[in-house]
Amino acid sequence: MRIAIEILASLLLVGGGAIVAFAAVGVARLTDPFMRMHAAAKAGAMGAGLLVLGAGLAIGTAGAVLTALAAVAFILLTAPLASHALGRAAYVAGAPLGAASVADALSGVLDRKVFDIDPARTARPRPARFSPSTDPSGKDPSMSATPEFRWPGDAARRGAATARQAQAAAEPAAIRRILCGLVGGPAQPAATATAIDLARGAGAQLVGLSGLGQAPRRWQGPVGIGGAYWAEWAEGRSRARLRQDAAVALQAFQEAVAALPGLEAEARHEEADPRALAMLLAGHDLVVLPAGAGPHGLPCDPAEEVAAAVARARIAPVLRVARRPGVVREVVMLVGAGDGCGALAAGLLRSGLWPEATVSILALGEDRPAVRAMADGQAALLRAHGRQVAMLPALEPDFEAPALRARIARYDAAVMSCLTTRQGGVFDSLRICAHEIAGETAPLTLLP
Amino acid sequence: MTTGLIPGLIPWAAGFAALLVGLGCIPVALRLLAGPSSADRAIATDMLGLIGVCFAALVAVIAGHAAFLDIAFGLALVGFLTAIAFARLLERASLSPPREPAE
Repeated sequence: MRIAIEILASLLLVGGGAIVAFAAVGVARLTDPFMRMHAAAKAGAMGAGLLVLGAGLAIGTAGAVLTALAAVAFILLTAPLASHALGRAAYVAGAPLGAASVADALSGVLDRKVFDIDPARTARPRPARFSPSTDPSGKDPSMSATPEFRWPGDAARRGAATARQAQAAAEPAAIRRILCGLVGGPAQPAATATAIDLARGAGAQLVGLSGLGQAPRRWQGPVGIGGAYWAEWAEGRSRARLRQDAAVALQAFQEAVAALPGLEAEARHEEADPRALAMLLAGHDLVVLPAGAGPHGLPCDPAEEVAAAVARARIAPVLRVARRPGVVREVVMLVGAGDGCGALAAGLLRSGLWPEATVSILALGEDRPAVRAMADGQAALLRAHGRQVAMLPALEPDFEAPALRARIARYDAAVMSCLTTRQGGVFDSLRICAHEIAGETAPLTLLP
Repeated sequence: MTTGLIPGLIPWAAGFAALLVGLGCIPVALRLLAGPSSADRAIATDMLGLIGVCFAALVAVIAGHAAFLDIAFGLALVGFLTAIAFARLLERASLSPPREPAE
């Protein structure tokens, strides 16, 4: 019995010490304060608890065991409280969310200071050995998160903003940040020019982002066997092509921006798959992307486009640019039976784009009363906000593609919920898709 | 000194655990120095408090004084209060701008 207790105590001591050491490594190596706090709170409390319990058992008297049990209970009770308080304080103090965070659930709930390192502290050159960063570029990974953009005097506007938000969700918000995707392709110059026009018109901050649609390189194993070798070869080629396109587009963007001194603009390069990136960049009010640019740097189906992937993430409205438009006077809205079609009018109003344009609503499929009712509801919402609305005769189920193209050709922009309704499959490829035709024909496509 | 049925097992285990915990001090200290935000420093301080609790417990085993377990208990208490105080300080310092007292 005594031997068993001794062995157990030794195991507890060594295991607790090891867990505390892991927690310490986590505190140093994880990328943002919240992750560090998670290491310190969970692993630290567990390691310290095991170690104190082991110490009590190793001494072996009843008083020591009781004291150790009391200490363990106390640690387990207080560690969550302390870490909760510290995490809340870190959030309020504006500690940056690291690159692994996908969403900020507390934005708008808690006040948040803009994070700002004391310049007196950072001006002093820091010895390299004190930096726990392993990033070869020398950039601290905790600093790589997107800083939240705030208007000056934001605290005063905050209360009014939340009240307004609660009052009417469809009120047009001023566009404050525009993300311009630099992914290359034939429509990229038009997209860049449109984004710059929009940013100048709205006085917004413009962020040019290259590398969108590119997944980070995965570890494939030491030796590619069989087809894996060629898969990696093809992936490397498409990656090189995509990087080249992105570099060309980035250079064009920087030249265009440098010619306009009044524009607040920056350029970034990030490589992540579109969905994760869209969630990372949730602070943007509009994403401008060129039409026809696929994830491999080649033209592809509308369903595979970067624009479709970003729109599917449903973080920010996507403006897909095929040609540079003049003044947008006529907008067509395609209301079908799919997901998100009921929110098209609200999305258009909220985005604040084209306030003067006439909106024509084209219902797909006359015979479905639900679609008809949805189209009427959206027309009523648009009229209530002072837009001019025209109801087009609904599209017959057996429409011809050239006829539809001719009908849509007079519009400057299209608003729809997705770029395609194809589900894949053999017979589906024979079907004519109204969304695809509209996306090809209209110079601008808004995917709210 | 505890002399068990397996001689040297518990002192060896305690010494090894002390080595591990002592090595763990180094990355925490680096984080404490490197920051970059004050929240990071508060978290590192909290972690150092936990490491102090571990050391007190290990000293209790190695030196054979059960009283050091009480010190571990006290250190845990102080560490909790420190974390709460830091959190309140950070929150208050970042939230309210310095205001003139009302007359």
